[in-house]
Amino acid sequence: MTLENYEEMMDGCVRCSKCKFLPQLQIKSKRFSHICPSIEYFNFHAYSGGGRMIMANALQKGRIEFTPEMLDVLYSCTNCGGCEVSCKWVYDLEPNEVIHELRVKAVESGAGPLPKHKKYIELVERYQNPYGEPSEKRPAWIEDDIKLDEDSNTIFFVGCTAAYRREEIALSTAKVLNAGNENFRILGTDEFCCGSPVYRVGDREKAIEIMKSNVELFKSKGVERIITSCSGCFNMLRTEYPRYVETSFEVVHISQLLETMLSDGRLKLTNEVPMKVTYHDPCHLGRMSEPYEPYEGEKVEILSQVYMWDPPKPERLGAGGIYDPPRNVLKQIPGIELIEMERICEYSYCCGAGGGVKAGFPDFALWTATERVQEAEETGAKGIVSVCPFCSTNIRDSLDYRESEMEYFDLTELVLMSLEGGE
Amino acid sequence: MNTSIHNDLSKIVGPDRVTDKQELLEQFSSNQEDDRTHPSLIVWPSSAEDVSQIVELANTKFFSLIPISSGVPRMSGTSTPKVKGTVILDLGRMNRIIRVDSKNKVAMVEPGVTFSQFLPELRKAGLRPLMPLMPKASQSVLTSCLDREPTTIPRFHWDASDPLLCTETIFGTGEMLRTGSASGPGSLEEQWASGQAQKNPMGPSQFDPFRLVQGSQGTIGIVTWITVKCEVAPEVHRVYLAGSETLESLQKFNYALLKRRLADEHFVLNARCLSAMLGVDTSDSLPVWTLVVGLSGHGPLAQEEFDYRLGDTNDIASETGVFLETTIGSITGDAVHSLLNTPSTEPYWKLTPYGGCREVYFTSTLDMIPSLYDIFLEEAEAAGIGRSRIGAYVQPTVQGVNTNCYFDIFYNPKVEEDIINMEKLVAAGTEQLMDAGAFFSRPPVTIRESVYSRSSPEVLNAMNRVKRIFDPNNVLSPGNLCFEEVFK
Amino acid sequence: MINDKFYSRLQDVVGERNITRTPAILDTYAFQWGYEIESAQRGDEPSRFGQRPDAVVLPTTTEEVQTIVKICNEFKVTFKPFSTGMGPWAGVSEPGAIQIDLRRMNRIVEVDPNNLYVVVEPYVTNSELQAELFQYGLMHHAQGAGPQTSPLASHTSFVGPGFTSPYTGFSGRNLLGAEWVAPNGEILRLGSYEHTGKWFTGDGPGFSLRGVIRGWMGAYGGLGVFTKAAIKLYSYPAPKDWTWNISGTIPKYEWEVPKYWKLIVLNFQEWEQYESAFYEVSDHDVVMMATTSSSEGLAALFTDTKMEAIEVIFGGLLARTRRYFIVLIAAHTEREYNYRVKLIRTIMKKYEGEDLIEEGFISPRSAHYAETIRNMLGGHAFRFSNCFQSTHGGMDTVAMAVKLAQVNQPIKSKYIEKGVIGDDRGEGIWTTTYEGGHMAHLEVPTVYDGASKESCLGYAEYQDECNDVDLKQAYGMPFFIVGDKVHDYYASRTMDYPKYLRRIKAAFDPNGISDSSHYVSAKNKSNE
Repeated sequence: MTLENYEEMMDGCVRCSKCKFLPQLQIKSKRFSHICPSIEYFNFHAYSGGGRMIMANALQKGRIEFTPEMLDVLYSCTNCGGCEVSCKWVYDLEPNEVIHELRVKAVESGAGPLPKHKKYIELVERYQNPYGEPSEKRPAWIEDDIKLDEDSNTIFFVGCTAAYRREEIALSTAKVLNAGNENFRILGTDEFCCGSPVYRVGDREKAIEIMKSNVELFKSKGVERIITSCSGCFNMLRTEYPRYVETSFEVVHISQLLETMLSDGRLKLTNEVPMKVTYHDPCHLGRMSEPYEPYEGEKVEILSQVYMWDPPKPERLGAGGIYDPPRNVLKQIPGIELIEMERICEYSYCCGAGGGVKAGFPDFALWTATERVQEAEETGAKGIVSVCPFCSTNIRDSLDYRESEMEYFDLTELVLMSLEGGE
Repeated sequence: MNTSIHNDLSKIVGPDRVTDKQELLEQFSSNQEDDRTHPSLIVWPSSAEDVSQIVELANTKFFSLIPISSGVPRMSGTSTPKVKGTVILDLGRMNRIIRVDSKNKVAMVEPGVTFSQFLPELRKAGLRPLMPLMPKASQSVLTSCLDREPTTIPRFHWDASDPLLCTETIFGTGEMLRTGSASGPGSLEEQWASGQAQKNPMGPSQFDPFRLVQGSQGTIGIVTWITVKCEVAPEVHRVYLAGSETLESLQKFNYALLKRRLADEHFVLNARCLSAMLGVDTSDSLPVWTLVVGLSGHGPLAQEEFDYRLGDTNDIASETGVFLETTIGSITGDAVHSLLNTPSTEPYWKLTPYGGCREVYFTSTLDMIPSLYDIFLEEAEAAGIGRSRIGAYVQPTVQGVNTNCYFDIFYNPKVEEDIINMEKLVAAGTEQLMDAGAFFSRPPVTIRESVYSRSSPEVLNAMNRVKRIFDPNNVLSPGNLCFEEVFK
Repeated sequence: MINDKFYSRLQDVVGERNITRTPAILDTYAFQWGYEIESAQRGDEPSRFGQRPDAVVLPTTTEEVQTIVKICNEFKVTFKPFSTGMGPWAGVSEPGAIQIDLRRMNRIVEVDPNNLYVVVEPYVTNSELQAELFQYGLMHHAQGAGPQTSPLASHTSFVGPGFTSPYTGFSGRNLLGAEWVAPNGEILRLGSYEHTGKWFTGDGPGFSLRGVIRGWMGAYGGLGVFTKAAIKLYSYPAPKDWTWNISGTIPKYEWEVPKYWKLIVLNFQEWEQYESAFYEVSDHDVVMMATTSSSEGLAALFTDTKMEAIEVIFGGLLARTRRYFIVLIAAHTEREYNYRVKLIRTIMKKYEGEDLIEEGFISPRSAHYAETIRNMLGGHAFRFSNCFQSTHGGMDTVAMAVKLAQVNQPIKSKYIEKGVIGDDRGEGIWTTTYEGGHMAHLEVPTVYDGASKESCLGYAEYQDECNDVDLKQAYGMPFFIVGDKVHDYYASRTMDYPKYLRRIKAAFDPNGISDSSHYVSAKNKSNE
């Protein structure tokens, strides 16, 4: 796709502003009515899903050009996809896709991404991760008692953030896998960034190179199944890769696997973990992970002035995300009481880190996380649980900043605490 | 000057319809020694065309006009001249009921149509009015609507402007505009042919001239007909009463009932007011406050409608500790029922106890009334008017959003001290009430300065700008509201 | 173009963060649904891009708004405020103008649950307000524009029918008071507030300045800026322990329908029966919703996707639907519910009608009840096309609506045959009653292709013809008779009302800088 392909769609925006809010039936309070952190923080219409779509349209029509100010607007979006869920309730539009395409165009035209993004893309190219950490340190989180099965065709794709920044998540993931007798190995120093940070800021060309090289790597290592603890990696490997490269592996998120292991009886949760918790849906595990179904078709006029896709176009509404597995696991931990926030599942509020925002606009990222933390605090829960190291980083930054009494847990950490003989 | 105007007016309306007879002029004068308050002529137009020409004449010959439609007694002072040479424009003879449309529940009436004349016609059409509590028999339906007088059935009172709908108005410039959907497109006949009934009061277009004429006390335009909203007459209709020592103990019930739009008539009277209304000699045997609740049913399931309304109302009553009865002491709901939706017999009921009555009326909310009442009683005592001579009528309006309240001071107009005390109470009481949150939304001329002293310069400025648009020479009722007493 | 000095003065008011003149941002304020018709009429290709403002400011207090307006007066710069800002009337109309985006003014200032009013700022949306009011067992009148739009905008400035109009009336009639920054920068607070500190009425002392600010249609943002509105509230008919409970996953949400609610679609063979039944229902104040559309409209209302709607239409609804209106009975108690259902059924039977829901031709799900109360059903029209507009709109009686529906049908069919507007056999209308059934209006939603010049021009021609019919045959004044040219077109048959409107404009906007494109200018521009 190119921006040009989206022009007809962009022309169809009615500027209704539904993209700024939760799907309207889901609004239960004024305080938590918004879905889009960007418009909530910056306020000018351009900072909404619809606004960016208008901006893309204006660019496409030659009314504006890329300027530093315009790029700031374009990149102060977490690409969380919330706008699209709310929009599609009624309209046949894809604002989040358009935003991504506009970023691609920005990069292709040499204007984008932002300097901070360029810097980490260079780091990915040089060090295989955006943090600029040496490859040899990638498996440093491993403890001696972790059992790896070098013959397994299943890998635990650790991801850069868990490997270098949220080692505790990598460790607890590995431990629960061991506890459930799930054989796996890791790629260790060979593991390469999934490409998410490159892809999200619009450097599609480089991202596709990474995808290709990773697919090759998986092939060469005989990988048939990939477990991720990171929602961003999960999203890339399961949802985005098949759009651009041929894949022959299965991708499973740890929350899905935990649910299976519990129902198989491979895992037994016996220790009481007496705590009220709330669960944060990572965008990339939730609405954004819904697969794209390949589609070829055309618009036909079925009634005068009323068009439909022929054959019917699959609608990617956000319903196909991973919502139940982490909740089902939480509910099976003795002592855990799950209290939901107002914004969950396909209409969950973003943590604020994604889409290059954490690097590009750290204040905005922290503000967004703080909005989310406040929402979590209002439930009365003591713990905020999620399943994404990147969300974890941003949420923890906010907890520190707010000096909140809440504590962040990865789902695997709570499972580990509940395991017989667990920690 | 007077002769010349007299002649000019005669040319417009005919010589029989202009007079300078002193005995007729005197009834409009509040003070015979002050010639400013003494009108020079009375003119009785018979058509909108007459009115328009008279207003144009007033603009060229620089005399002021006070439009009136109702008969005596005149209690508010609105129709008392404040400028020398005022001509009274008596619209009382324009008294046709132009149209009663039972399908669309609306009637079109001229200014001189009184409630006594109006009600039988409505009844014939199967309709009932939305009207004030026992107005004087000579009260003009149109004036009542233009003055935003509270009506007794809050559930039908959607907007403070109800039941006024469309108007035909001659502005102070002499220009005529029909307001609301009556403005067009098309003539009234064409509108009727297209199925319209002048039901939409708003507009035309992007302004609401009817809201500028209503409440203007004759300062913006002269209205030559209105359409007035009506309701279907009920087949079953009963009145229930509840007595109470305090207003507070009725509060929860009132609020809950108003929200539900279950009741028809819904108001509260103190003993003084109720006894005057009923024409009984003493209020001793009555509770301090009496709540009046009318319930009705109509249409194919009239009795079932009534039963559900009664059932739900009783549930609310028991939840809120109120006991609705058909009789309180010697007073029956039926007796009160007979006084509703009908004008007062002669003499006007407010004048029966002592011969005189001064109304102090304002808008507030139900929760504010108890303290405002206490304040007024204290002021009454301080002014030398006994508490027992203060009537109170609490009428929820706009479906319960606000409340119109009347504190009636019953006095003997033949006793000078009584008059002095009454006026003392009006002056001091009004100030006290305003300090405590009463809003005098329809300020009578006697307290206008005091009321408008609390309006911001911006609002006064805006009102004056409106005045300059519609009555640039200040020929209409100068000295009412916040407007000057002199010509421009 | 605005100059640097002006810009810097505004920046001093709102701070650097809340003002912009970045073209890319400004262009997002130049884009509005409906502009495509204007551009086609100019001879250009249809485009939703219109006039770009020179700057956008985001004030957060009334005082900031006042200062901005005063600076605009000083520099003679035209301004246009908007709240949620949807539609061609929301944007600026001329070069060198600024947009005042009221997004940051989003507070619910006061709820008075006993005295049934709420005070809101411009960017509180209908769904936000509704969510907050439910906890008091209350609701407000939400205009048909949708749950994400501003109740302040509708109540102070823009017409105001809604799906619950039989129960909650019309925006213009529900306005109790307003805080208004007049075009000259003066702040006015209408009614009781400045005398009592409470907003329980907007009328008086004396006449009501509500008469200046909006009228029936509202001034469309052409007469200053409204910064607070006091709005009348209504009882929400649900048990005390009921909460807004939505389950399921998009798009198949399920909603906990309050106990005594029921949708009925009363279908009659002929207009005569329909009209009699509609009048009889209107005599009783028993329904939350009373509305008519076409069979296509009915299918769109109570389905979740375009495909589903089309299946329902051709699955029997089209053949069965004659003259219908939908009612929602929403009762507080079992007694109230039983009486109302029985009454509706009695009336239906009397006029030989049938219930299309009971007959199985359309099946509203629980979420459609939620969408009804949240005022989302109008948005379903966009499922058919991203382009529709409404013609007609005159508001008076049911009888007029019925006649107009019949007069309109052959006219609309003519344009359908030309292939320029959506095919609903000319039957596509939308009607609602107001205030327990006292008034009614009819408008004609019409689908067109916003990307096709022929369709845009065809729609425009159809609208002109509708306006002409309303004018000549006295079917009331359509909704969109705004702006100098159209006002003047209507003036001769409507007692020359624009001259008064112009005097108001001149008196309250002496510098003529409150964008008059969808209101009126003090001088008669259409004659120039």
